[in-house]
Parts: sequence; C-alpha cells; structure tokens
Amino acid sequence: MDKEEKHIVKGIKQGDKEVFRKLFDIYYQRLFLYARSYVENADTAKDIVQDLFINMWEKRKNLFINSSLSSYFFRAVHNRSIQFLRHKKVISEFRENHILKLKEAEILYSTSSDYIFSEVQLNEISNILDQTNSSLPEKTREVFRLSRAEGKSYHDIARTLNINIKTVEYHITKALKIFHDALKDFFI
Amino acid sequence: MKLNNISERLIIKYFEGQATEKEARLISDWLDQDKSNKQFFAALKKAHLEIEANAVENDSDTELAFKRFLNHVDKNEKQKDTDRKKKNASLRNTVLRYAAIFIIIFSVGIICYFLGHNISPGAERGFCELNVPYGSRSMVILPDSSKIWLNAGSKIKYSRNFNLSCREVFLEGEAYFEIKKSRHSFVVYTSHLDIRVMGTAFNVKSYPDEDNIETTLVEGNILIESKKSAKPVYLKPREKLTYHKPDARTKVTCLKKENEEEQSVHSAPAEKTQTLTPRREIHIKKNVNTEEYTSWKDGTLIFNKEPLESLARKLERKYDITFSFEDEKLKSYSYSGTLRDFPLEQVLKALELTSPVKYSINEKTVKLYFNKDFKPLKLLSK
Repeated sequence: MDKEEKHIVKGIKQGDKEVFRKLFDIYYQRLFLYARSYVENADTAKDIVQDLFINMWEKRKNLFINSSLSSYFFRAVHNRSIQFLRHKKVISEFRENHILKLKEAEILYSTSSDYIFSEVQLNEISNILDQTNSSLPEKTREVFRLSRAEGKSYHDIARTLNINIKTVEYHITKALKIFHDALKDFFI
Repeated sequence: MKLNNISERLIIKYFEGQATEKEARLISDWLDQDKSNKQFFAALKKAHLEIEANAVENDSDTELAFKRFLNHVDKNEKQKDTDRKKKNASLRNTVLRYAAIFIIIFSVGIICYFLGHNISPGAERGFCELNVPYGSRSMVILPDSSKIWLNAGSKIKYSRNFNLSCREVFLEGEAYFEIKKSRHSFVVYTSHLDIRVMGTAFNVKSYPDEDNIETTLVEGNILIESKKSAKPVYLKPREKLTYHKPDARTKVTCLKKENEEEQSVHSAPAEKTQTLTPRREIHIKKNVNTEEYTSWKDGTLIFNKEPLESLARKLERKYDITFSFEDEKLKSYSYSGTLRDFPLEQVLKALELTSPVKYSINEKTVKLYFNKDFKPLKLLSK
C-alpha cells in the first residue's frame, strides 16, 4: 500500500464520505463489470457491489486491509459473486458454462493479486483504447458502440442495422480481438 | 500449449456470454491442460474488463450508486440518533418554519490530515487532527460514537489512543459536542479552559482571535476549570459561561443594556458606553436560548442584538471573506435575526435594506460604508 492508499484507508475508517465518493469514482464501474461477468445479471451485480460498500462503511472501524485496495475490493467482489453462484448452482442445472465460470474465478483468484492499475497506467490504457476505437473499421465501431455504450442486445443491433445476428457477433468479436491485441503488453 | 487464433476468439466469445455448452467445455478442458493456459486466460480476462470499463464508462451509473449508498448510510445514522433528534425537533421546526425561505446546501469541505504522517516531534505523534477552513463546516464521529460539529476556521485534535476510557480532545475555534454517556469523563481542552463532561450536548467557542471563550450547555451538566484558578464551575442546562481571556486585547468592553424589543433584522446604533469597569473573568448567563449558540451547526446563524463587528466576524468565517469597516461607527450597530444558508450577496443586501450600511465586494474583501441617504423601511413600523 502506498502513502495515498494509506490516507484513503484512514478516511474510510473515519467515515469520510468524500473518501467514499472517490472510491466509487475509481472502482465502482470496474467492480460492477467484474461482478456482472460472474453473475450475468446487472441488478445482482449492482447489489453485490453496493452491499460491499455498505458493509465496508458499517465495519469501517474494524477494517483491516493488508493488501492493496484494489486487490481487497476485487477479492471481496469475487468472494461475494462466487457465493452467489454456489448458491445458485444448487437450484439451477449444472451447466458447462457454469462450471467454467467457477473455474475462471478460481484462476483469476490464484494467478493475480492485483486487477487494477495505478491511475497513470489507467490513463494510458484509456488512451490506447480510445485510439484503437477510432482505428476500428466503421461498421465494426458502430456495432461495438451500440452494444457497449447503448447496451443493446445482439438481436436489437441486428434489427436496427438490418444485418444478420451472426454478423453482429462477428463485428463484436473482431472489435474485442483488436482491443485485446492493443492491450497485450499490459497484461501478458 | 500455444493458443491458436480460433481459441482466443472462442474465449472472447465466452466472455461475451455467447459460448455454447460445447464451447464452454472445450475451454474448460483447455484450461486444465496447462498452467500457462490459465495465465493467458487470466490476462485476457483482465484486458477484457478494462475494455468494458472503458467502453461503458458511465458516470451517471456511478453517481446513482453513490447516492444509493449515501441514502442507506444516512438512514442508518439517523435511526441511531432518532431519540436525540426527537427532543430538538419541535424547536427546530419552529425555527425552520419562520426562517426557511430558501435553503442552500452549503458545501462542506473537510481537510483532514494526520500529524503522525508529518515530520513532527515525538510528542505530536499519534494525534488525529481535523482542520476546517473558512467557508466550511464539518462533523466528526469519534471512536466512542460521540459527535463533534466543527464550525468554520476551527481545529480539533485528539490522540489516536482515544477510546472509551481515555476521552480527550483539544479545540481551537468553535464546536458543538454531543457526547456519548460513559463512566469516564470526556475532556475538552481549550487555550484557557478545560471542560469536563460525562454525557451531554454543549457548544464551545474558543477562537484564538477572540477575547472571550464561551460555553453553552444544552443538556446534562458540565464542569469547567480555568487553567489559572483552582475553583471549578458547574454549568446547568441553558446556561452560558463567558470567560474573558486575561491576555485579551480589549480589557474593557461593556455594551449598553440593549433594547428589549424583538425585531427581525432590526438595527439601531447602540450608543457607545464604554466604561472603565474591568470585566469579571467569568460570567454566567442563565436561561439563554441555546438554539442561538448551536444553530450554526445546521447552517443557521441566529443573532440577538449582536454588534456588527462580531456579526461580521461570524460571516467572515462562514463565507471565507474579510470585512473592512470604512466607518468605525458601523461596528457598534446591532442586529437581531436569523440567517440560513443564504448566498453572501443576499445577506449583504439585507444589511443594506435594514440599516444605514452600504457594501462593495472586491474578490474576498467586503468594504462597509456608512449610508447617509438611508431611509428605514416602514414595513416593520411599531
């Protein structure tokens, strides 16, 4: 933990709402997406992250963080998501996708302690992604934008643009592949 | 095992939630084959999260989530102090009903730093310090769940060992305390007075640039000891103690006995009747309206026959400005009334309309002039 993080942790312990606001700004969106990638339901994911912050507030006086803040947050979201999935597993059918989800969580948990970068790195990543986005073929960019920024389903996009759903899938995978390649240096 | 192009696309497909059962099985098996596969997979996942975060960056979602969080937290906190609030509710409502024309939420800035982090001598280590700049207010909850509201330009310091059996704080400036009941006393140290309490609510005003230290008790009882004299003073509810600092700049100040009539924002130049009788060091006033001394914590200033000089000092702290009196006689004009969190301009306008005062603002300095053309408003005619 660096000095800045120690300062933030002190703020949490004191119940400084401004500090919590900052935490939301940095982490909320990422934690939400992370939770959603497991539980596959936006509302559940929101609840999981919300619950984590409230829990942090209520237990702030006894808060003990011995890792970096980001790894603390992601582990907490991870644990909560897994708990949810395990519970769901009992009631839902045992599916391959589900098994893979649990495996994925396990892998992420064991191979990395940090999911989040410093602010400088985040800015750099964001710049790269912006550049990559503008370099995408026009059609691919449009499909990706409709999917991500407007949250439209593949089905809706296919209808709006009057194209095949497979073509939508193709454009999205293509966009993601290009983004992934652009970010390779950061992760591998 | 090296990954071919199709598999990477497959993983992305899976991240998208588009993988079939068969494809999920394929990935699952592939992951079990080699440790490096897992590492590659983890890297891909992290990159994917960043891409998503960047693509859907949605401030309003974050904003909404934070509001939801605040709502929950505030509701819980309120529940905890419902009992106390109930007691004050009726009084506060009355004040609100008459005074609230508009309510502007004042930005509350908190600058908090820990001396422990600074390079400071050993004795200063292990203290928490909370500084509230001019133009702000702040509230802090101590580890024993006592609450302290800090007024603008105030500073509070307490040991990091602060706990239920060792409750001590150092105050410079003005603060309202709501102290949790406990067997162990809670002590507030100011420059000249030590205030010892068990469990109560009270206000302390001890600005270094003011000649008096004031303590107003709302409920419970408190014991006040002057650092100089050995004899402690007990205060009962609705009593206000004023301590005149022996090192004060003005040794003699005695205002004329004011008009007893109540009027809103009424001004009448109080005649200067400064006598040479030295003020007693400690003075206790009974049956005060405690709201007058504690309402600042909710953003309201209540003043009762207050000379413009000291009213100006309150406004200076509240709005982070400086007044300059272009005419000495203005200082002794006195005002009564209630001010909520109005914009500064509106407050100054009110002064202009009700008294022979004119103002001009230049950045953070407000100059006050005598207005010889002033005609009193006939609205408040007796």
